Amino acid sequence: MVMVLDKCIGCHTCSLACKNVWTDREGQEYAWWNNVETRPGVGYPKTWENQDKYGGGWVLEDDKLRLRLEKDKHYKPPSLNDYYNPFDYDYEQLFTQEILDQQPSADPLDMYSREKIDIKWGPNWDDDLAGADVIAPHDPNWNGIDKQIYLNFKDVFMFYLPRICNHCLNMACAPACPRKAVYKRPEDGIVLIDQNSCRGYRFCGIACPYKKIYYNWKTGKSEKCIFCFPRVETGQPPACTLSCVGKIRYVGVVLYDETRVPEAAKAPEDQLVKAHRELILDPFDPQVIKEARDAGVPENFIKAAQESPVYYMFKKWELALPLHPEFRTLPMVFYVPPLNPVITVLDRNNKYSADYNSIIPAIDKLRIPIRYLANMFAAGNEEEVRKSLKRLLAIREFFRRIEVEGQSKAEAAAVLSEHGLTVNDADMMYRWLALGRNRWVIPTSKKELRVTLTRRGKGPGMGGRQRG
Amino acid sequence: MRTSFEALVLSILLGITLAISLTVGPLVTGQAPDVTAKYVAGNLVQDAQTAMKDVAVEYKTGLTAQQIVYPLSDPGSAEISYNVMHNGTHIAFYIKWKDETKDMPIGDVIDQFPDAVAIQFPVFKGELPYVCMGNTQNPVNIVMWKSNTGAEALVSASAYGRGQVQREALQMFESRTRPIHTAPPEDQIWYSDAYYDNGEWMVVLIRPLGSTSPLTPSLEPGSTTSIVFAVWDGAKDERGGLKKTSGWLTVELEQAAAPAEATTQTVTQTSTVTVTAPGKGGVPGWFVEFAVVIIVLLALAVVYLLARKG
Repeated sequence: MVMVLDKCIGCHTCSLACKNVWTDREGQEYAWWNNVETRPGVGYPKTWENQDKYGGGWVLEDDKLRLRLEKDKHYKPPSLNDYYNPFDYDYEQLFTQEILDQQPSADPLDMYSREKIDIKWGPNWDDDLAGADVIAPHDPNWNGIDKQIYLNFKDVFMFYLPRICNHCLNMACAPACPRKAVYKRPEDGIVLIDQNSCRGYRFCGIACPYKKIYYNWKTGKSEKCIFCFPRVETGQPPACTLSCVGKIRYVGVVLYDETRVPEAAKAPEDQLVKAHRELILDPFDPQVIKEARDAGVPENFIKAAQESPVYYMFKKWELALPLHPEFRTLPMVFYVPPLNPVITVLDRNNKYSADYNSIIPAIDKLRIPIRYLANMFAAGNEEEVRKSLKRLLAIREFFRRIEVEGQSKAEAAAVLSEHGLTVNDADMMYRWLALGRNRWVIPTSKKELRVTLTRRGKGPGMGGRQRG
Repeated sequence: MRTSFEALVLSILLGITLAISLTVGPLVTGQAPDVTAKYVAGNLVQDAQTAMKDVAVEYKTGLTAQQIVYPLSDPGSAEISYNVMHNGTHIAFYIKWKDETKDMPIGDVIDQFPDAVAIQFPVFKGELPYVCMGNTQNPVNIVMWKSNTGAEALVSASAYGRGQVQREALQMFESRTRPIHTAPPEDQIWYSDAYYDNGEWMVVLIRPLGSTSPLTPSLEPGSTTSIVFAVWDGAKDERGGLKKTSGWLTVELEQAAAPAEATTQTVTQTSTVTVTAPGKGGVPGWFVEFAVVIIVLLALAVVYLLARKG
């Protein structure tokens, strides 16, 4: 999946769709398999990116990957205090209150005890930078930035960060489970927890650096985002994607070289994004197609891989980036970093307009510090972020030259070629990013795949390696 | 030249012998039982609070931190006191151990773990299973009591703890299956009660002697079985492999002194099913393995003599 952060309006419709479909039940009240955070902020659970506290992900030592959890087994699973105390409202009060001058109100109730509570935190408490002066300094992504500058009113910035399970290629959750209950489906890469095998030990939840595994206190087992696999199998997008108001989510198949996953996960930090991209194969390469066929990948998956927005945005155009690649799990949800807000300046006529002449050189003067985005999406490698942002600006500049300045496509294409793009790329980007057409290309799945895809190697998937 | 050839032959054969010795594992022998499950006429004490006061715990066993498989426990030890008795129809385990904190997470608690105790039995008669929860050829039956959910019967059958290298060295090529299952409903035959007082747990676990399920071993007065204990301290986040365990202990059930009468209200299944390990026919497993060792040793001697002649 790719999420284009500039388009996220923070409406939480995705979270509610997911909640209504999957977790609106006892034991999962606090669980938001899909959540939307405001950045800068501490997220959900609080400061989940701080692995010194939570113990998630892999650590590279002597060219070997070790679970951080294995190095120190005293990490604890997050508590409700780290997430939030789930609450409901006493709606009955709206009907039974005596008539007053002010509007009736409904007191919050603890969802478990049904007693009145004082709400002190929620899954999106830092929404729209609410209380940013208190909360935002605790965001773990300030490394290398004078955060005080960005907490001043005139310099403050914000964007939304929707999150689901990343269905990683090099999962930390699966090897952490002594019961082998966590597994990755070879046919589509979806990571699942076998509820018959899970014994509720919560090692997986500690090992997941994204804190996207939720213990169900009612069943005594852990649960997670299932990428709406019953929908995906029938060619439909996950509920979060379908319901997305901003049309920010893109779903597609990628073919990747499974045998190189461990090598990619061990790349130097500043090379992790590059190594991750190199795993993804060109679905038009005859050799790749042949090997995919030999491995039992059906034709509709190969065709879908050729039309996949994920392939184009992550691999071909290098617009999308993985969330915290330094955790070394090779996450398969990617983010197109935000340009927001668009730079405007007063022009000669004292009107606000885009400073298109300097728009590309001004990339380092964007409101959101490049360093902040690099800390979040590129293990600190600012060049990866710059490359993505420059291409996003180039496409805007290209269409501006045509629409505003009346240049021909051929004339305007100079700005594209400067950044390694073609007119065809620009047209495709326009259809996907601006118009939001064909945002998901999902082949229907066949149960037989589980049998035929036995050998390791190039497999299809929005993920894909099965351990053990 | 001859000397090095002899050394080669010797080392190969010794290697084979060692591998086979490791493979056969511990054997059930005629040694004196570690524990005697005394026969008592009439009702077994079911109430844990009463048991804490009235049931004498005759046996003590030291438990050590599990240090074989991931995730490794902190080094440490514990001791349980216990008694085992039967009344001809049911068998009761009275287990007492010290635990400074009563850890019983109930309700919407997601970061705490319960105190727990478990008893492991071999499913089949004959060779004892691997002590760390059996393997696919020789599974174990487990009753696990947790402070928050009570007793649950489990079946474990895959020696999940052994790494691939260890498994191959021990010729354990069976495919890895789910390491542990909740046993089917017909195997959920355990009654449990627990009482915590003054830094000490008393857990009572009672089941019928007989079993109609092949996954639950039948126990008969006059026979011997084997057990392993394990305890978990929730306050130390112990769960799964983070636990303290004993080794195999043999338990002999005293002969019933008089015709048995059903005296407890736990379950009504009392019929007996005798199960032997699959593929071993009527010959005890230990006999086969002993014979293999002897044959290999004889082969070693013959080859050595031939080598000397040559």
